[in-house]
Amino acid sequence: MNALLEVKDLYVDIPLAAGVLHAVRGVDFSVDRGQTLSLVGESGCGKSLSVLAVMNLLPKKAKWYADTITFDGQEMDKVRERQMANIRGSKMAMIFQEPMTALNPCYTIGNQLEEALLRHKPVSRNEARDRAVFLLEKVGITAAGSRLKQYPHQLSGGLRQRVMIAMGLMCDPPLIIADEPTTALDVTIQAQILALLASLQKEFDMGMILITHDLGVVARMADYVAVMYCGQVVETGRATELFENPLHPYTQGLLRCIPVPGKTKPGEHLGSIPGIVPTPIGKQKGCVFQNRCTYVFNDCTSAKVGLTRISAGREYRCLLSPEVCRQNMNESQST
Amino acid sequence: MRLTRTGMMEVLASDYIRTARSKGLRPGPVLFKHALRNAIIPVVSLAFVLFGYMLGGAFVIEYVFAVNGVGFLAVRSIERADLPVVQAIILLLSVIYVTMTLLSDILNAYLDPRIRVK
Repeated sequence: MNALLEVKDLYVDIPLAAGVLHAVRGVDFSVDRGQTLSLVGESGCGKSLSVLAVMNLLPKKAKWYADTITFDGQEMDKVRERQMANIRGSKMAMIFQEPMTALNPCYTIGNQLEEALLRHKPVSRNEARDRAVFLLEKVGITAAGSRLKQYPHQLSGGLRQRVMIAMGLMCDPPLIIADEPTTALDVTIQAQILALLASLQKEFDMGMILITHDLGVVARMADYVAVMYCGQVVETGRATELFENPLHPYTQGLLRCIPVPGKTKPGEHLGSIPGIVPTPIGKQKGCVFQNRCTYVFNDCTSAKVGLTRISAGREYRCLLSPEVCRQNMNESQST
Repeated sequence: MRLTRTGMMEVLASDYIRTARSKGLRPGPVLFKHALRNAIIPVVSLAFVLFGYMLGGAFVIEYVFAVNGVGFLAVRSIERADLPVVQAIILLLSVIYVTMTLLSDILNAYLDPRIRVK
């Protein structure tokens, strides 16, 4: 069966004065209707750029190329910007991470919501307004009719994020991409927004790509997870499998960093991964994680480290065998 | 003009332009609806400030080139210590200036809802 969106071997390069910054180096992922794929990784690992490349919304300077990107049975790298503009918003919508700046301060939210629908569907202004009111109520905004006349600066952060979500849903797209939808919000609102996204996804049977660096969010929302590090996917799998049985040293490190109530003693240092991210400028030899990995050995610095497939959809990028990885994790947990 | 250009470039790199494009809007509406309105706000304010300088400049230009105008008249009246005329001219120019500033504020409030006062 064909996935809704399938990305194979995606690269994003940004030319800088100091050299070419390889922001994304050969990333694969796929999402189906009704599924949630979570892209996890630290800041600057290429999560956002990967999806922006898919939507062809990268900054002008950045160049991207991919082996194949298929969306809804259509090959995308052959699709030109004109056609891409028809797909954006109607079939593939994006929710951005900064609700403070992602809405245009000069227009009412009603105007900005209706615009998304009017662009793609032959509907009247009134129909568009009805749809906007319907969706604002769906995302939990009361007195939706009067909200339409308000400007973004009159709304709180949580409300603005809800407006963003409603905006993404205007054309009932099969795929929605949420780029850190909760990072700019405080924790209580976060939980509400996540619950909302999950219920809307179920209701409209959408595929969702959720970008986040919060593993708690991943555990709660995702069916599939792709852990990214330094522009590469280092481990993928079903969320449950990946959390129970992390293989790549980076994933293991991330999971060790989470404080566990009852287990982590008060005052104890939280876990961390030693070292810093290598510079993404220029070509890299060997494993991207070599300078921070506890289990590094000679081959790590020279060999080409590819993804090793364990089962369907379960892959990891490490030279060590799965058994050794599992053992490493167990040992580190017992100490 | 240059302010419009830099303003436009700044606005085009902003998040809400990306949002507009993510809705699938074509370049035309993105530029003229979403970008221009935000970029033009500082230009409008500046244009009216510059109008004030223009009033001052009129004094010099009219005197130097002996053009018959308010500026020329003002300078001649000052030379002759013709107080009522000087007073009248200053009052007239002040009223014009204040009206223009008010107009600029009204225009700005129309363009940018954030500075509207309830």
